[in-house]
Amino acid sequence: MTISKEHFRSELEKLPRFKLSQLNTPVEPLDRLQQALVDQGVDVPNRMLVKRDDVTGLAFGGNKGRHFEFEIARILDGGFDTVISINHYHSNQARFIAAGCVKAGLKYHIVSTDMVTAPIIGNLLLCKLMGAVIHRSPNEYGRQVADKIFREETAAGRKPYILPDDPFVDVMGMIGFIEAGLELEEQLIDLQIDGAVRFWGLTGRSIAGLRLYAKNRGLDWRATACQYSPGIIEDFHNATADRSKQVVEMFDLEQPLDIDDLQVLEDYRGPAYGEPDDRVIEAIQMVGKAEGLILDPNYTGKAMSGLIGELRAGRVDADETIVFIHSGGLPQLFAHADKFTD
Amino acid sequence: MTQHLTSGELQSKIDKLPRMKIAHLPTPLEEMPRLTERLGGPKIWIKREDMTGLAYGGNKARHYEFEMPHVADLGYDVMINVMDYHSNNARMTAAAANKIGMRYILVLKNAANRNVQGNLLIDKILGAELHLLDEYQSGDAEGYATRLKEELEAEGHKPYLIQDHLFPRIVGMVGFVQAGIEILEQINENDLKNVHIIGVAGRSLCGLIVAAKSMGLDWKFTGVTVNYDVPLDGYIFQHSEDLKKALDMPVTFEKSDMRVLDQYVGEGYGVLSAQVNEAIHIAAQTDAIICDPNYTGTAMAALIDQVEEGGFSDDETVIFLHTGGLPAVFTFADQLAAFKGSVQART
Repeated sequence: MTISKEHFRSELEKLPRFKLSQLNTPVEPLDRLQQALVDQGVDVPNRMLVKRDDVTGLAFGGNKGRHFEFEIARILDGGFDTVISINHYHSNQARFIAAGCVKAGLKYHIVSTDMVTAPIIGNLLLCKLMGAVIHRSPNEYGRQVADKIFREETAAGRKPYILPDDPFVDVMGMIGFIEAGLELEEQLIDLQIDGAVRFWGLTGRSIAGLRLYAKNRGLDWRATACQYSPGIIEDFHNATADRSKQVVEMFDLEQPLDIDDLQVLEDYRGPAYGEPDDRVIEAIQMVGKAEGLILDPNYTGKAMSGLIGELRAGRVDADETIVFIHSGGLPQLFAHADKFTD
Repeated sequence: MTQHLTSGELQSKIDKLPRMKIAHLPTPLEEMPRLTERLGGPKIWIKREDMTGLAYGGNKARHYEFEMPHVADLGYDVMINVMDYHSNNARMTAAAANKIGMRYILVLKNAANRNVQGNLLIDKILGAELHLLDEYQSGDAEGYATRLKEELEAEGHKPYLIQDHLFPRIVGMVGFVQAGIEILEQINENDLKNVHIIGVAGRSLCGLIVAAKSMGLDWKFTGVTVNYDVPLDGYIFQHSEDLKKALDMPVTFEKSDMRVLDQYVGEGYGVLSAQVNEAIHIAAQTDAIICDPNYTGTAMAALIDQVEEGGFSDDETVIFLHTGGLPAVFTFADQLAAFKGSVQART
């Protein structure tokens, strides 16, 4: 028994929504990258494509332009006027919240954790341009800072909202990518892709949302998720399974995700979050040269180093069509300029 | 009396040129409701040429759809481009060249010992063969490039030095004649009246003017200069007859078709003025639109000032042409981050 596209559409339409992004995003061939790999003697899969979620159009684009359409609508429906979030220095999410708050007329505080003396560039600069009130804090005090802002804003008569306290934040990424699944199903038909498809991305909610969509649609969509920071794979699987159960319930679906639904790779995460290794730099340069396409060092560069690494190791099924999820993150490349000075 | 073209007739003239797909088109035409409300004047819309999808986007992605097949069809095997160190053209040409596997040599003026940031960082990542000239060498950058070209020819290559050729100077206008057809459809879909397009004074606007005139449309145009060194007559308005010939058009643009505003340049190209810095913050804090310090920020400062000064009438629909240039935001990170002014709406 499979769930129809119409069912997914009608469930999505039930959710309140605030338009932020330009959808659909394009799917484009990576034929020149594929040829560059062939030239290196690498066995390549059937076809390589990229889903361009870097061009959603909201303040430098990225996949989260999808999710926050739902989240911002919830915040507005709740009557809140101020948003407080806690995000790492490198965070793309912080930028999307800033942009969403601007468009919705909400005040926005960001508690920017870790790297408290790093320059204001990349995402943090864009947050500042967009009027975010920035509070830089060591990681361990982030929550306390957020609570203090909450108290102050409440005392000032405002109605603040601490974003990470909303359980919906845990599932909205998956929901955003259920819609991306609807887009992709049609785009792959238009591109006349038949046979197995493997989505390639990062250990997050986006690829899980796609996989959840495919599983309930009965599509042969496989998924590989590369880690981008240290973490226990089992924890990711458990969190993903939990979130998928919530979405199954919300959307009246049949099958949540289990551990076999996502292949997780830990070999490409580099030394730490926000720290790319040499393979990531090579992958970014290789894709730039072959396709004129830019990736970022924190996320998509790691995912691409994983794809290139697995292809070189001969661990990708030759019959598959690979769809690389370009989830964006492009402003943060400029925070890593020193990695590219020879 | 001139016979006007239908959009289909205009399209068929463009379709005679060889073309490859590079840009994500059509780019969106969006409202800027919060900026409109803040300024209290005409309705403001934005044409999102920053969303063409080619290596941080920008209007020039349209140009290369024509330029790359043109160069490749003539049998050239390497392109040489001479540009300033923070050029958007330098970056986007690199990305477009990669899309057809064309070798690309980039001679950058005033680039030696610069921070690798913004467009220059992207040039590097895209694998452009960089020649970073110091101030002295920059005085004769064209001579430097010509010598490179001759060396390549001696090695048996067929180099295309962009600055030697006419086609790259008109191709941007061709791209924007195309954009004019696109904008017309979007204007009709949204039922917009009394259209007034504002953007950087340059060839993109000239292309739009030709599109509008040839189709008999009453659009108005305001061009904002960003540079004291680029002469209007000797650069922007230079190739009106060449464009007319290239597309076999019944009409072309004239200087009088564009209201030119030159009072927003500040201290000059590449220097971020307080007014532009403020305008960048206003656009970001009203509709989450990011503008760059060199081009679109200056045009945005002009738009804001003109609305406040009555330079547009309230029954116009003002369309801001966002031509891209976003990597330059990060070249100016320190000055942007140091902005202290408040951009709360004036009451």
